[in-house]
Amino acid sequence: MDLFGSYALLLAFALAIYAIAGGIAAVITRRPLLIKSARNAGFAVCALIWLGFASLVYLFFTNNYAMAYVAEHSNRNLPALYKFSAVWSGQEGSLLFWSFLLSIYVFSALFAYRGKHPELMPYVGVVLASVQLFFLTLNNFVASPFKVLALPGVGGVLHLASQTDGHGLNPLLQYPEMVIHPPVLYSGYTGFTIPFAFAMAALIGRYPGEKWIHLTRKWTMIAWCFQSAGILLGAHWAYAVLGWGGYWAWDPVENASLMPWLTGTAFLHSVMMQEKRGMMRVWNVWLVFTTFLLVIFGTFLTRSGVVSSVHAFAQSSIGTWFVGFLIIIISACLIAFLKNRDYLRSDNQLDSMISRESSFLFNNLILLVACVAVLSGTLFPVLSEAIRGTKISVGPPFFNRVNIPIAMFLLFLTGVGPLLAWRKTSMESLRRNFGWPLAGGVATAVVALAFGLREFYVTLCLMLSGFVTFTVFSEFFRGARVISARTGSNLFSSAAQLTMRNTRRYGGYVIHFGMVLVFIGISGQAFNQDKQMDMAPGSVMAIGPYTLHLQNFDSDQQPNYSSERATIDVDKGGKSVMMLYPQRRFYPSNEESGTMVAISSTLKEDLYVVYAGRSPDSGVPVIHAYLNPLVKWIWLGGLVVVLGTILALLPNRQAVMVLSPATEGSPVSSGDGMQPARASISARSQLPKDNA
Amino acid sequence: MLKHLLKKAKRFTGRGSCGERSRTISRDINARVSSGVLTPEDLKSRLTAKRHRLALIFSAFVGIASAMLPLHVDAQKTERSKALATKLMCMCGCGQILRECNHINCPSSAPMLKELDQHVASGEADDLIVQDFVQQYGEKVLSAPPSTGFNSIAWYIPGVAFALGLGIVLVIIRMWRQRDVNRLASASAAPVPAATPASEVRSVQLERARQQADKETED
Repeated sequence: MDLFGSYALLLAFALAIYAIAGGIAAVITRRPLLIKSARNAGFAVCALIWLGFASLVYLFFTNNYAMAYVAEHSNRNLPALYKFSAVWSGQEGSLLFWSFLLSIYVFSALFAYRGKHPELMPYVGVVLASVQLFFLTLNNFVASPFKVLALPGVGGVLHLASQTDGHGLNPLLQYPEMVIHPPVLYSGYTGFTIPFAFAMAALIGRYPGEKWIHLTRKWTMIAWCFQSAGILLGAHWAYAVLGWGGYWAWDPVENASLMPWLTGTAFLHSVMMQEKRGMMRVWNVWLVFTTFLLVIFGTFLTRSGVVSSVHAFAQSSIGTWFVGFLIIIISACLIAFLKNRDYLRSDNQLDSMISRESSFLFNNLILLVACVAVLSGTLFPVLSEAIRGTKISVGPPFFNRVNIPIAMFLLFLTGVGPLLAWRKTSMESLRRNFGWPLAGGVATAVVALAFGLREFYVTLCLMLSGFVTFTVFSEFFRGARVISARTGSNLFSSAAQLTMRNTRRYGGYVIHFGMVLVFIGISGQAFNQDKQMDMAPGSVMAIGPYTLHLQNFDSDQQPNYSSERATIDVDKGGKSVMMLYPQRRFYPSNEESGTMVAISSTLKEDLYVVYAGRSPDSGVPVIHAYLNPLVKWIWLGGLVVVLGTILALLPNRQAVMVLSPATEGSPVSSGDGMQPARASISARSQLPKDNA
Repeated sequence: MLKHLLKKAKRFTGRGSCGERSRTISRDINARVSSGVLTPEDLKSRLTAKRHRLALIFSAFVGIASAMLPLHVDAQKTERSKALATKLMCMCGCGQILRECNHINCPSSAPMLKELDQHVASGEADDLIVQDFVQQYGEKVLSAPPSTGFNSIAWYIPGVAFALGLGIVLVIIRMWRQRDVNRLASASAAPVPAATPASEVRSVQLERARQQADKETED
């Protein structure tokens, strides 16, 4: 059983080679049996990877310490939940986990389009199998999680060995969020392989029309949703576990997850121009390519040790493999593009600078500039070392200074874009659409200033947040008002009908609103306070409106760790409002310590208390308290973004189009130039119908 | 004796000798002394007590002020230290800025923060303190690259990327516009097939326009 997974992965490797070779032969010969055979090989590869992964999970749960990877990352007293997450806690297991998640996507794509799109799918199968082959190479020959434990005996000969217990899991990873953060983030990373495969296949196969865009849009949104949720879960984990009072440190590994998100976001916007106007074909193909390249590049950064990071895996030679793979992908993309670039000619032209198209162009520009800023900041220390021989640091002050203005511009465009019509926006339309949102933004800024805010970027952020919020709600309101006038239903149910008729558009607005909440939450960072004190029992610390009374500190012994815990009574306005119990844990299996932060979170602020250990001078607990305003808005915003994406993925409920004469001055949204005509469509006889 | 006491009383009331209030007080004291309610001894003892109270308040004020003064200086020093600690990185390899490093048992952050506090306490200027850390640990200790020399490239890259991107966007827009002009020109130059009835051409164009409108409004 120990080596079952190893054999399964080896077989998967062989079958992946067959899937590629068979797929290429199928593309050349167009023989249906060959196409089917290559596709079935693709299914088999996925099934074998699942078996390999299941086998590794089994080894963890059966405490098989004859396996080196299990012995290194688990121990007997580790709770079952963390035994599961320990599977992907090291380099080898996480690479197998990557293959596992990728295989779920590959299987789903091959299964969903089996027997469909015969001109496209053989190419897609080849590209997907090629990516799988790379990871299977790593799983089998470079970083296998199925290596047995061996110790050198007499004469240096290795003998199989087994330990009675393992070294245990890194304490930082023994937190419930670490059970879901990596799977969610990896699902985002691996998910971008599907649009890449379709884009490459469409380009090589010169697949006519925009069909590939329609096919991959949902896959891209799913990957983007996972990536967004994964990034925010990671931020929350850093906030709740690392105990430094923040959630984003511009660490290279965090940056690695942000970069494909930025280009993926750009793609999700610009793809609309291709769908509607047949424009930006070259741009979109390159955005998909770049997103996938950044996914692989991010993985390279995390695993090669080329940049120092607290999140990174141990330094290893695996980086060379990723560099090789990156070179192959870039070459393949360039060759495919140069050979088929005439296929990517745009159909249409830009009619006006004041149009939805131009707002998307600027949106893409800003997102790309943000990506370049993050990439250059991340790699600059490496560049400096290579050229000058001096390693420098590029930390949060650099990234904040560069990215905050970019983020403000992006927030501005988030509000402007939906208000502009496709093709051309008239001045009258501009006045009508921008009135309320602009007034809302200005009113927000005035209120902020009246409350004493004087921080420039915070005030600007709040003003733009008000602008975007009013844009979003005015879009819902105007559409719902038309439906309400025609059907007699109230505004809320009309808004629901409106949303369900065009889930993609209104789901998108919900996502925009979620991003506004995230921005508001981030702006609170400007007002963070913190205080650190050596606190003997009975000591008092005041921070903001809170007074912390350290009542006592005690210790506790659990099977997996021992802990020291402070009991803190928190007063507000002279009344005791809560008890907090920050802890510091010691894990004997790997002789490491970890903090368990006590957080009291409200919409207004988080009281964040860390037991930082005992003072070396006095021996009393050192308590570090932070008062972080508005942090909860970030997590709420993330939740809204995910809900918005799910909404956008739902099929439309389409109204039966019974045209009735348009009324004069029908007050319908004209973010879309053609909307007034649509407003005249009667919504009375409505039939649920899938419009997938 | 009484005059002398009255002068003292005026002085202690702190209102000077010519104010209406001091005159009222003097009259009041004179009246009470002449009526026998207040003896000169009583007045003297009361004035002494008042002098003691004022001395006590004064010394308390001085005490508080002197206690506040070092506190104020200390707070300012801490704020300066905090601000400076955001300009420096912790050198343990955790990749966090010095102010935020909470790395348990960190061998670097505690001594570095202590050293920073000492620099601040000695009254050195910020630039000198940072420079001292750079000499000690190298440029790596700075949390952001300096905007001079080779390191300034890091600051220019985003701006250059924006300018380049903007240039590309403008070129794309110009190309699209040019294509529009060319298309219109070629359309007007192309001969209209005589065999095609005008109504048929219109209906085909109308159908295309409908399809395009459908595509663009479905969102």
